[in-house]
Amino acid sequence: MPLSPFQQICSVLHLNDISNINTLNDLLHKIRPLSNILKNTLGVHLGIGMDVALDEATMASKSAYGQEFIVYNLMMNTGKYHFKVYLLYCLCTFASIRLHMHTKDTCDITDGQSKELDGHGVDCQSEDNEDNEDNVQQVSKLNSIILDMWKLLENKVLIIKHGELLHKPYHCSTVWYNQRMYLKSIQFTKAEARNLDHGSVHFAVNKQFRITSFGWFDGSPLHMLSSTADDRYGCCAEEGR
Amino acid sequence: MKVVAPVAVARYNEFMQAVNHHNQLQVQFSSCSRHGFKKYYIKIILALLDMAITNVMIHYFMASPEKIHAVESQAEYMDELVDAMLDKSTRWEMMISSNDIGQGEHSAEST
Repeated sequence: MPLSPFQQICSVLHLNDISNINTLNDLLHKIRPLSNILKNTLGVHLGIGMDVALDEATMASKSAYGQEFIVYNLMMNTGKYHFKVYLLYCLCTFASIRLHMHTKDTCDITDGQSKELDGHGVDCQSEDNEDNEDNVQQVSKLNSIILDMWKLLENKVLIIKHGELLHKPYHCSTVWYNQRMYLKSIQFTKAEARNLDHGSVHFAVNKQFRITSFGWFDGSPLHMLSSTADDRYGCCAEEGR
Repeated sequence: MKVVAPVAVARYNEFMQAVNHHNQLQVQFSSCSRHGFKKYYIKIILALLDMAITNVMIHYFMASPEKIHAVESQAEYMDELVDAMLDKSTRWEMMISSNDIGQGEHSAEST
């Protein structure tokens, strides 16, 4: 295809009818049909277990429009803005089974759920659904995103009760050492980095919130936060170089 | 050489394996990562389509595992996908129902 017809097609490409004013209340009205199709069809043909991974992905764009998506990711050094989407992956098949667009409000949390729950033939009572929706509004935004994704799994009704997670997901992520409020006692100084052996660990455990923070030195220091504060934060042997 | 590491590091590597593998598959024939568009939603649309195509590819190789070991297996899959999309006998309206588009909060308001 020559370039000019391709540009012409791109200039008129759209997914939703925006002539209706009511659709403009939705921040995701430009991509709502596609996102709903993906939400309802991504995990349909897979047997999803309890081993899933939640991660964020970014899409770089030079356009500064779409401010409803760009909340934290301001312009990077490359001159691009980054849109953020949360994805849930299956560990066995490496397939993505749920997506969630990052927006200023929570317009992408409750949308499309009732269709999905009923479509799978899962026994879920209407009262439980109402309770879950209330609980989603009580927890923080990040937890509400996690709850939204966990509802896809089996026994999803039992997960949320009294505003708390009965089966808490396992959080573990790397953090930058220069983050605010991050413990300096577990960080490795430059002098330590020259002398320490590989595998050195600095631990700190918060028993109230059950959060483990640690720094691990393996050639270069690595700082992580983990949501487990029980016997699983012990040490194990891992194959190194 | 064995290096002692916390369990959280091992579990992190185990769980991030799925994410990295999916991203690796997605990048090779990505339609959004190497193109610039003036309209932001086209970028998002293409990124979501990339993710859907990668998911379909995973299903395709699960259904036909003998094709995974081919050198150009992913390129052959893309060829078959394009042929299927250009096939006039394919009835797309039968594959996606109106229920899949979803009538969530905002869609219900519009109707």
